Amino acid sequence: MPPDYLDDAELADGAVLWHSINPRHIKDDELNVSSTSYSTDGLSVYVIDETTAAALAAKFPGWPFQWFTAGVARAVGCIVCKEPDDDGDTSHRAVRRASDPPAQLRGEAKRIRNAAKWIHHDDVPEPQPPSPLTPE
Amino acid sequence: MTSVLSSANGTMTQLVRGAWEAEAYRHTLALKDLPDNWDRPRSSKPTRQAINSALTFIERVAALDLVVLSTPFVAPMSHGGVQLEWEHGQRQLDVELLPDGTARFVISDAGNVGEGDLGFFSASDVEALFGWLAATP
Repeated sequence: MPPDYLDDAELADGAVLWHSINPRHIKDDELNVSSTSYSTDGLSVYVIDETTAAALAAKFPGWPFQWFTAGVARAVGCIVCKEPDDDGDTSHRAVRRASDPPAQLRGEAKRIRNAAKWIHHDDVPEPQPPSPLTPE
Repeated sequence: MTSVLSSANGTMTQLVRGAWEAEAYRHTLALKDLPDNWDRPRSSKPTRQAINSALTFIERVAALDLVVLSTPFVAPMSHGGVQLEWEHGQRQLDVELLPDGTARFVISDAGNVGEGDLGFFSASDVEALFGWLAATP
């Protein structure tokens, strides 16, 4: 049976969600992020009130983080599903298309990316501009 | 001009029209050297079909010879695809080359977002998308 994907009704719209950013997806010196980072099937986020910055930094060594609220995800047509990560971490959620939960986020990814902001916190790395390809 | 492009897994020689095109090929070819799990657990490196499709897409864009274009951002996707991102003014065009080589896109203009599927894209698909992108000051 396919899984039932339900919005976490107990999670307030104001809940802050952290998303780790692969440094490969930082586009330029202005630290703009590619929508690729948000364009997945089940966007991986953590409710920061249910975990700590240090715990998340340990899961994604060297990666910076961005944040947005659950309300932002819902406003662009997504649901926020309670899905523990591979470590069984229950602070993890997956942001999914409300109309087609297993599908990859596309336009929604861009809208969430546009609303997301960098996290500046002592326990997580600061975002860095991309390093150029080595000339041949 | 002719540009010789190489990565750890191969070399190609390609006639290019300008600097942005050569740079885009180079960034795309570099994706061949990514390991699996380069992103999150169970992520895949870009497939050969996705990379070849991205190279073809870049070639078709360059053939339009639009002076307003700059180098696209070339990003690997965790499912084995490749994304090419262009910006012009307030308009943005993201083209996703899927692991099977088909394409789809997301366009954005001052916060308005739309999306569509191209399948195995044609030169006229590329021309239509870039006509839209370039038609802004």
